[in-house]
Amino acid sequence: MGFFSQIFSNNRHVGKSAARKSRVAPIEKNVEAALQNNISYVDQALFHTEDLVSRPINYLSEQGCLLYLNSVCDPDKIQEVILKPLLKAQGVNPERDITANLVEKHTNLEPVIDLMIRGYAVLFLEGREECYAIQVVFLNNRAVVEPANEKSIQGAHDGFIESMQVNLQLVRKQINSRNLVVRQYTLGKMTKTDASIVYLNDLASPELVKEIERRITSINADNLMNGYLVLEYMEDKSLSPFPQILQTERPDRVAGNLLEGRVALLMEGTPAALIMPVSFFVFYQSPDDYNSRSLAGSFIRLLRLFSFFIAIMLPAYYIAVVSFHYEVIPMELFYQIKGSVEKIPYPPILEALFMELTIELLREAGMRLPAPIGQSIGIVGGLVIGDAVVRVGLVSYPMIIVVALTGIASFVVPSHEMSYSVRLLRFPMMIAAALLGFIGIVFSFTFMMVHLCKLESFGTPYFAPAAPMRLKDWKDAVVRFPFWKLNERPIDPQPQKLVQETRAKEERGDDRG
Amino acid sequence: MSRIWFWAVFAVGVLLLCGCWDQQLMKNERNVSIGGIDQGSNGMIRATVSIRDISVTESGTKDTSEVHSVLARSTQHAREKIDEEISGSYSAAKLRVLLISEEFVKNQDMMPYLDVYYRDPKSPLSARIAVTKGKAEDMIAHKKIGSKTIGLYIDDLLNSLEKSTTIPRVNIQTLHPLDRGFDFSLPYLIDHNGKPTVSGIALFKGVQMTATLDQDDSKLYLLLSNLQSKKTLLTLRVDNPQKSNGYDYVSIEIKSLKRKLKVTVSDDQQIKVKLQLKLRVSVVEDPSNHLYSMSVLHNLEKILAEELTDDSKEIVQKMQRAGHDGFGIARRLMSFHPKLWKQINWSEEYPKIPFDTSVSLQIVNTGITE
Repeated sequence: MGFFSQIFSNNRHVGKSAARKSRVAPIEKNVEAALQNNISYVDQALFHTEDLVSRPINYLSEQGCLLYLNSVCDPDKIQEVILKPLLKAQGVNPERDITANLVEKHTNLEPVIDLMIRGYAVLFLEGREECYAIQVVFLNNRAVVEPANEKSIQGAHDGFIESMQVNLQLVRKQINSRNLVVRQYTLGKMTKTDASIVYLNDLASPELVKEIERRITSINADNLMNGYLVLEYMEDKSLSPFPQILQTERPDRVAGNLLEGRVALLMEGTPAALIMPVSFFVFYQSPDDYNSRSLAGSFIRLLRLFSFFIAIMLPAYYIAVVSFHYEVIPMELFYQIKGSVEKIPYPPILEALFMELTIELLREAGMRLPAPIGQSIGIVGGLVIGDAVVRVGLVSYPMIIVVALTGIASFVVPSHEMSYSVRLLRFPMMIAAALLGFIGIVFSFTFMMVHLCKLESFGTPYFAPAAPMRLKDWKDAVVRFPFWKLNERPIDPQPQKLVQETRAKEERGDDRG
Repeated sequence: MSRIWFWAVFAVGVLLLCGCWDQQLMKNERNVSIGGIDQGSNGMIRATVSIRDISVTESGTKDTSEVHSVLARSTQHAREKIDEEISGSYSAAKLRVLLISEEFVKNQDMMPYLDVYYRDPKSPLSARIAVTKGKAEDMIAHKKIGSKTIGLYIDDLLNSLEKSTTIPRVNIQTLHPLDRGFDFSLPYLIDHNGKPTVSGIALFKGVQMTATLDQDDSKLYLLLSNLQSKKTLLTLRVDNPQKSNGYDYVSIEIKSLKRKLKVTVSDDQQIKVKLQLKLRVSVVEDPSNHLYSMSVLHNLEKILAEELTDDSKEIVQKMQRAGHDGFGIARRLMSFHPKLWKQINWSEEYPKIPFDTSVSLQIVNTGITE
């Protein structure tokens, strides 16, 4: 019994004893006049970490010491903004002499230690009961390039990187408004990750911002290293197959959503922004729709929405037809399908599951392998398996077509999260179809629709322009009308101002309509 | 808690698995493409079916046809007996054509044998029905005509003739006995040099076949019944004493048609029918080719109208003799003169009804430009 109780208690008592050992930090420790005392205090507070560097320094006639963690500080910067200026120093105030852009004077040691971890160097001077924290952080940013998973044909080719500062700058570059507000938080008890929410003060609903703030601040976890972790803490229903927060790596997509009154969450170390609240249809909007003309944009968007139905229902439909309702197929097609189905030993559901899982396997394998090998996996999987599997008689030709079409349709979705959902959803659909035929499809589809209508994202309806119905919003959700027709914003994020333009074309002196 | 979950999942699973009982896997079914009913011995029927199979190989598809024939008491009985004979389970869901022999429909009521088609939810209600001269079994025994299996061949044949207004659009559904007040007619198939050919239509009186019409007459019959399809082409004789034989015929295409059917009952309970047909036609073939002159044109119109009127009168007489009420006169009497309808004996009365039939015709186009 002891063995089982240990398993089911998830070894909790082990965790407790470990927690007890951790150092309880005092809230305050004043800087002492004796230089050596300060150094040894910091050294102890950081558990004698070996990347702590202490460099003795002379400031005019005063003895001093510069402390920093060499893993997070830039040696060139230390040279440039601290050491050189201090050598040439004239006055008695090091704050004036140091040329770094951020110099903070502290009398308390504890916050200084936290700053050191974030890339500050600390200057202690003998006899002074204060210290100076100087920002000399080592910036190792990669270039702003187009995100590989959200490419666009037309439009901006920049994408977010792992630095929040750069990401914020990319967003600000899109919207030069004084109403663009950034609120910063530090998340994670251990990771202490910087996060910021961005919104337009005159647009985003105050209740929404308050709710998001409440959810962010009430997360009580050690590890909130990146946005993807925070996402699940903030979502309304984590077990719903549909994502309720949009992740995007494109600044223009963020800006577009901010201008609809939504809120974006950016985090240090996360090359993406989380946009909330979102509706189902936002996942099917791509920047390409807006960067091309409205007819083309509408066509592509309709195609994408249609692909949603193909991706979740086509295999189910085929299974239902082949095992329950073959009389609905036109005669010539019927005999063709029958001819190739006849020699398959398994029921269609097994055939479909086998093929679908093979495709998922191939996809996963192709993703994990380095690019040059990944391609050959595609060839091996697509051509060799696809062909051989039919010759052996495991899977029929029509099933290959169905699975291939479904696979293509599920990759059309511009958001990866939604693509995963769609791929997952077709399995229950297929099983329902194998059990009850068309009725099964109708039941499971109804079930899904009920769930979609019930779902909320931060208190706003998830299935928004469809349920609750607002035909005006269909102009930008289902199709994309010309911009001068989109006089109002979508109502689902409850923006403070609904009107986004007035008689745009008429004011130009143009009455073509 | 976990026990409740277990039983809930178990119960839902069991309930859903019931659906598998109704599974009808396509690969296990044998699908009939054409069926035939003949008169058997001792009041039984001889049912013949052709099962179409396709084998898909890398080099392409191969069509085969397998014929089975059984002696049975009813259609359902025949299905069971065929099911015993064939590998796999019998399915009529993809039946395209149902053939019934002339002998059978002349001697007995065929409706009881169609009953099973109206009950089965997978029934091929859009399957065409045709009457064969001679045995349906012999027709089906051809198995293949050219590269097409017999079921497909006859289906395509009937389909193309329906489009050219040669035979009426009839399928199992339109034959349903609930639809009263008029008599149906069915395509009439003959075996011409080993190939099924449509020679015209078979006229029915109630549920029994009583007469046939040839292809030319059936076209006019369909026009008189206001059942014009996509295209109607008539080739008529115009006597032309000055020219040789090749100049005798004119082909016209019916562009639009207006039919007036008036059933009047006089005070002394006499039923009269006035049938008027107004055609607007275009001449598609006229070897003598003098239609630019208006007098020739009007003359031609007159000749054609007269000829069509004569033919129509003959057709109507033939219908009356056969007791075939293809225009639905009974239905009009039922709805507009119910008292009279109850008094009369329709099958006696119908042949005596005077028909005033006339066809008028206007040529609206003579060339290729419209």
